[in-house]
Amino acid sequence: MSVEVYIGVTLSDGFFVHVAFQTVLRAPKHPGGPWNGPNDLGIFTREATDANIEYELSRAARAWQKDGRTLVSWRRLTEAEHDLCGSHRYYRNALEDVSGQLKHNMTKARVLHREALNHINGGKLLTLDRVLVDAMLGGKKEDIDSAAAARKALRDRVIDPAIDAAQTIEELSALLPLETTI
Amino acid sequence: MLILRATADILRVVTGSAADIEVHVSAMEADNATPPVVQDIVRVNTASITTATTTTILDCTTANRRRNVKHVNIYNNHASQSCLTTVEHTDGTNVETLAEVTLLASESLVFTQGGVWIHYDANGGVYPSVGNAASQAEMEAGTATDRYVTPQGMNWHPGVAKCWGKAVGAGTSLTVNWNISSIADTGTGRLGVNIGTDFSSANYVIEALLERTVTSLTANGVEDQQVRNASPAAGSFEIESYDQTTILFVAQDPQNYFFACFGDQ
Repeated sequence: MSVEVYIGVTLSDGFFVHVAFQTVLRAPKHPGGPWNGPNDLGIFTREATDANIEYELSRAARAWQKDGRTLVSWRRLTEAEHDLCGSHRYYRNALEDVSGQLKHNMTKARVLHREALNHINGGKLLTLDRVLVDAMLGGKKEDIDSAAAARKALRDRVIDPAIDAAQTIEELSALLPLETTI
Repeated sequence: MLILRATADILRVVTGSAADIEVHVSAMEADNATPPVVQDIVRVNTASITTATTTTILDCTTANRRRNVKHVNIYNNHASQSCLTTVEHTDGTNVETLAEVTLLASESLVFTQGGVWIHYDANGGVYPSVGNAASQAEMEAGTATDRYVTPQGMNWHPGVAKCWGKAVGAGTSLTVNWNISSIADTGTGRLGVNIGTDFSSANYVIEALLERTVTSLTANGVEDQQVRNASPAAGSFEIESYDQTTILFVAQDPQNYFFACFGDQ
């Protein structure tokens, strides 16, 4: 039996949160709330009932309230949905639970995609800026053109029409450059 | 040595509940000659005591005799009922309590020939001297030199982590932990942690570390971590992970999160 039950939570701003609800707990004393035990091994247990899940979410909600967000709804996730939360992590913040279906908001995903590209480009552009300055000081036109072309190629990645054309998260993810590691 | 003198002395047991207390006594009986002459070797098995009552387990009714108690065995034969058990000695006027324990099911209290009372648990193990265990206050002070530490008391020392854990980088599963009731994936590079037994306030220390996703030192491979601003509460906190290898920081998952917290509960 798994000791975790996976819960999907939707907050008041529409943001999706994945919660790993623990059904067993090792602790020095009873933590309060709907825990049973401890047993002979000092382990507390609880069932993943609606009431127990809501109790745990009420505790977790204290952190969300600090961001000005409140809990709107929750439901148990399937293993496939749990796996989805762990994949395509560049686009995780685009996940939305709409009408009981967990999926990526592609508009948000495209924004996240461009943010990732800008992050990767940032360091490369700094390097190319130095190359360009050196080329300009050297006065060789081909060196200047080469550096300028490399800089343009980086910028073009961000405005690639294929980003807007991508209809699935897999298509979008395929556009990430190889140096992107997650 | 435990002595009963004729004729009013009595050794008795007071039972506090309706359990099943079985008592055996072994003793030597001597007269009052000089030197005393042994007159009998006594053993008494008292009928099972199944009510809350007072029961004489040995007397000394023959004139001019003394009984030297060598052994007393008091056993709770009940399957589940515990029993507060008191052993008393009376000289007919004054009643003195010799020993008092709560016998759980299958536990026993033994008076040895050496004059020592021993409380055995259901497995025949001797109870430790709980009276010398450090209290929560003593553990938190951390200064006592005449107390011992119990497994539970260990948790109260200021130098001990009150909770700890390892979570996967996506924040979607807790790998191992102590005193963590749930975690939350609250976004890319963000891990929410909910503590089982809360701290006494939000003023505690959070140690957080990450396992990197790659070994190289290129962009998207050098995650750094912080505690999210204003996130610590008595029962929760949040860790952030981000990549800072280029001029534009970006939230990014690590391979794994590690954390441990120290403070007062």
